[in-house]
Amino acid sequence: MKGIARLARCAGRWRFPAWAPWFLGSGRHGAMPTLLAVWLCWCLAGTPFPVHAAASPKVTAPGGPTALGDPFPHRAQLRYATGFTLSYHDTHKEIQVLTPWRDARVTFTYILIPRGASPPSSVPPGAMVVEIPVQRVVLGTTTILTFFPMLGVEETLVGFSGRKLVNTPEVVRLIEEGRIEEVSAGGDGMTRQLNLEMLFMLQPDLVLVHGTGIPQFDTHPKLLEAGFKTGVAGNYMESSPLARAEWIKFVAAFFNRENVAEKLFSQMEESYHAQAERVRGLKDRPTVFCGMPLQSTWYMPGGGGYIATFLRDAGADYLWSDDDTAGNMALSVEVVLERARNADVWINPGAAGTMDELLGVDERFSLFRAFQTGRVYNNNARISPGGGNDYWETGVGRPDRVLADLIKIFHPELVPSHELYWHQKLPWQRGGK
Amino acid sequence: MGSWENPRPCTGDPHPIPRVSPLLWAALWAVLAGVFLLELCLGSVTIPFKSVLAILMGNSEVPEGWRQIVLLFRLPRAVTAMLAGAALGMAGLMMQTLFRNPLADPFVLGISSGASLGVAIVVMAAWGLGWTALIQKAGISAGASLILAATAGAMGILGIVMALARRVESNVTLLIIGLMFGYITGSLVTILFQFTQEQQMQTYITWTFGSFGGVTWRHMTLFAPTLLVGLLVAWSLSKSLNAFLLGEGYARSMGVNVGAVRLWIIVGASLLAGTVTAYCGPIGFLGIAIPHLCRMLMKTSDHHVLAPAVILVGAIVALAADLLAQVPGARVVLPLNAVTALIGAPVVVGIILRRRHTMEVGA
Amino acid sequence: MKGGPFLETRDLAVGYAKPRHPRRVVVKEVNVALKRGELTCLLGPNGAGKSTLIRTLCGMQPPLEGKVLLGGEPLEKLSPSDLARRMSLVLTERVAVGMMPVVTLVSLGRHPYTDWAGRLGPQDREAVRRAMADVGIEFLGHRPVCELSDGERQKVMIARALAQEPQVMVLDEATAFLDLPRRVELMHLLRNLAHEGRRAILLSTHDLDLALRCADRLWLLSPGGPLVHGVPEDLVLSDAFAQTFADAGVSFDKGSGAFTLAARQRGTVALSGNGVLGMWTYRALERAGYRVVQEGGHVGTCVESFEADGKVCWRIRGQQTIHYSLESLLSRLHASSHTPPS
Repeated sequence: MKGIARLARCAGRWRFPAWAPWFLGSGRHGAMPTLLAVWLCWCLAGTPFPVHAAASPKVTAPGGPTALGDPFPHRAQLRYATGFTLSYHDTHKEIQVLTPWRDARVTFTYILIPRGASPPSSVPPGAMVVEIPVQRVVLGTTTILTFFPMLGVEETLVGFSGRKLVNTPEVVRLIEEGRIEEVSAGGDGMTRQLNLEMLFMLQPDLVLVHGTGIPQFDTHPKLLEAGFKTGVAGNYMESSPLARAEWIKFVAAFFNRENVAEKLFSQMEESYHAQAERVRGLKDRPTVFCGMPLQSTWYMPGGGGYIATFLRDAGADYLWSDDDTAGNMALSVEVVLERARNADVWINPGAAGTMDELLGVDERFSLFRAFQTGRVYNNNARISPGGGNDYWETGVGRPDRVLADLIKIFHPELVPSHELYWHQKLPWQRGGK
Repeated sequence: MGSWENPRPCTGDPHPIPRVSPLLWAALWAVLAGVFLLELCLGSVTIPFKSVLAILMGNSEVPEGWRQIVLLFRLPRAVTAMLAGAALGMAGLMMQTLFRNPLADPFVLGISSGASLGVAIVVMAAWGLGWTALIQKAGISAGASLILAATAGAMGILGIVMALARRVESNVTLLIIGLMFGYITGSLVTILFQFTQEQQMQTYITWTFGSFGGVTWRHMTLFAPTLLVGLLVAWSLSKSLNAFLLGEGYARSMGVNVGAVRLWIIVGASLLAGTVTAYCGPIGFLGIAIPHLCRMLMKTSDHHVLAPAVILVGAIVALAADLLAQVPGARVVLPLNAVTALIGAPVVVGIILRRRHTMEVGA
Repeated sequence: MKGGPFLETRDLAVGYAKPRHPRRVVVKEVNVALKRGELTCLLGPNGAGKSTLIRTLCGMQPPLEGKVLLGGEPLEKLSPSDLARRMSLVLTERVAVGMMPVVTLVSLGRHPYTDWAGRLGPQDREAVRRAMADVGIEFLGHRPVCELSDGERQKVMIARALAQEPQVMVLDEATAFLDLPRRVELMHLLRNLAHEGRRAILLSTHDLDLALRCADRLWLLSPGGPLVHGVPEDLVLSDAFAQTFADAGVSFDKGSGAFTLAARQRGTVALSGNGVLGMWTYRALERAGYRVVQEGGHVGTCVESFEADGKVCWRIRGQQTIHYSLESLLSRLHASSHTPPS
């Protein structure tokens, strides 16, 4: 303390030479204002070092991994997902999320250790250490939610962002019992923000969110700064339906339930491939296009994206499958009309619920043959009372059932007993046929 | 006194009232026809010029797809662009005269934002009441309510800005007030949309880019007559607008009913700007740049000359902007507002710099 | 029109009566008239209410009491277009119409006579031509207004007001921003327009000298006080002028027809000399602070002015030095006024 006081006195007394610019403090206050200003700027700019909760080691209980045998008896292997890697070591698991968002330059690394164990000596810089199995989880998105009831760990959920959007019955029941708090704080979709105060009250072990790479929208930096264990899920970046579903193993790793995940996933994988095989040899593949224009731009999913994969596996001929883009292409309505005028099926036209609505948006949609013959299908047959679409919830975890829907749309004669689950043929008017 | 001026006539009158040469008008019409044809011919899908002509003639030996594209997409888009350009130019002219401010236009003074607010409220009400959840509506009754809401919103903001204009001396201060109002209404709209679904937020953001392509022939049955009525009203106000150029004191002394004329100007400008905003989104810079271009071209501030000029030049500039926005040949479409800003802002800066000593309405 | 005055007021009171503000009367019981063929000037110190009075006479502001009659009819009963045909204005403010050619600006004055499309008939063109000729700006026809000087611009605005073919023209400090030669020119122009055009012209101005010389009638408005009107010389002789502009240290001198500042008295000097020379010597001595009396009687110093060899000279009686400029005379006088006379 005395040293600081002495330092301050010296700083106050020191004078810069007269030829120094005025802002260096050649005035009568000495160098103090300058030093104060520099310190202020430093604080305002934020510290240059990354804030990472992992930097502070937790107090560990005595003891390490269980004395007997392998701490991680169940291991999962990834066959389709390219967005993350899962590796097992003697004392810890390591997960690396490689594609948290489009054109991401960063990756996220998670070191999972058993409860009470001490972190390994060589933690990679910037990695987050999480003790598993986690017991209190907060989710920021429905696309990860579906894996929880599938793995049987939905009771660990303590908070969710956008509870009214949930469809899964088990989770809805928990919400109604009041065991899951609402943690959203405004914004919607990709811009949804989380309520930090609520999170402090809930004290979760793990928070899983999406990221966009756009600082104004991203919520994970604030969570990390606040000291929460935050996982950024990049599952929506996967370009094949099975790869998206394989993120069940990502979630399972946090609960040591890889065996359950492997079993469920293998079942789905088999069913998916079996269905795809049935339609693979068919010569008659209906032509299809999808989406809807916003103003005059039609964002058509690229041929390298996951919906294109679905359509191909369902035995349809996607009119833009020649393109390799994984994301969406911005086309003009003219181009779409030229190529898709006589397409057989129109799928997923935005949020439209009836043909009348489509006409209301633009009466020129009636130029499409698919519209004239009434073969327009949308994936909004199951919507929660709060407006959440189950296709993006349960549908993400069950690509085989989605494929069944699509095959029913394109080759109904092959699956006469299947009823459309997430998709519907658009009726002319609401409540009509 | 360039080559556009009439040569001295042989009659005895030594001071004929100067008229703009018919050559200039003819040239403008020719340019308009040219740009109109270009708009029909160019687009993301390549259609040869001969086919376009054949389609216009009613020839049916053309591929159906092309016919649909030209008649149902490009033609209404071209007509919309012409009407919208003329309407915005006229609204800008009226407001520059009313405020005697060379930098006034519907966008800058927050009128377009007022119209957006009106539209947003109607859309919110529609969503709340269970109508369709997207902004552009086609049915007559829904369209009429949209126009009414947009015009009411525009008039509301314009009225407030006018009331403030009386207390504010400097032109620049008034513009800053207008800009602030634009921000306020913009924020109100954003807040309103926080209570709707993500879908609508996305739709709204895209709507703010501006586009002429959203008006179909069905919309046109309401869009075109409204704008034509507005343009006629504005044109017929030319005489009073001329008097307004001198200031309200002089205008009153010349027998102009200042209060009534001011009201007509507000109604006219709001109707024009509001309708365009309701159907095409908020489009900036055309309202400022077009009147200035016309003044430079016609070398006068006489509204009898400027009114038809603004209509012609407005149509031309809007068509040109739309052409540029389509980036002929490429697959992408640029936001219209980006293109109008790129065109309009340099025009304004150039005019201000050239006439630095006279920052006046007529300059 | 009738033979009576073009504009007259009956017990007019002007001022401000806004809601929630106290009523403020600027001047009351005004009974004046503007007759055909006369140039009337409205004079008064700043803040006396000249603009308020003018605005009331033009119908821009309602009167507090009394009425204004234009051509025998009350002002408020006239339609705006009728009013425009009988009265036109020229204001102080600069008009911002840059690019417009002069001819178009002048033709704006035909506003009350043209149809809804503003088309100019042969009568209108003739009126414009005549207005420009009367004001003397025929050669400016096609020039854009922004290129004109201030004086020319005001002439254009006067031409515009003339083109309106009014019976009464009202100018509110229309010469304020002009230099002296322009002001003189405009004053004479207005006088001619009034006399030859058989119109009534009212001009509010600060140019006391010019007003005294050119105006047919004067209206004097003092702050809070009554409006005194009459022929200029009558007003001077009856001391109305002095009273209107009475201010600390400022007085109106009937003799010279100008305002004088009460200066520090240095002494008394007798002056011998007359004509132009005498007058300017008198002014110089008075400006320097001496009370000047006629020669004769016992007075300390006497100044003689005379011409010798074609040059003007001065001499102080009793001294030998001949001064060839007033400057040296005055400095001698100053010096000697400090020493007692020998």
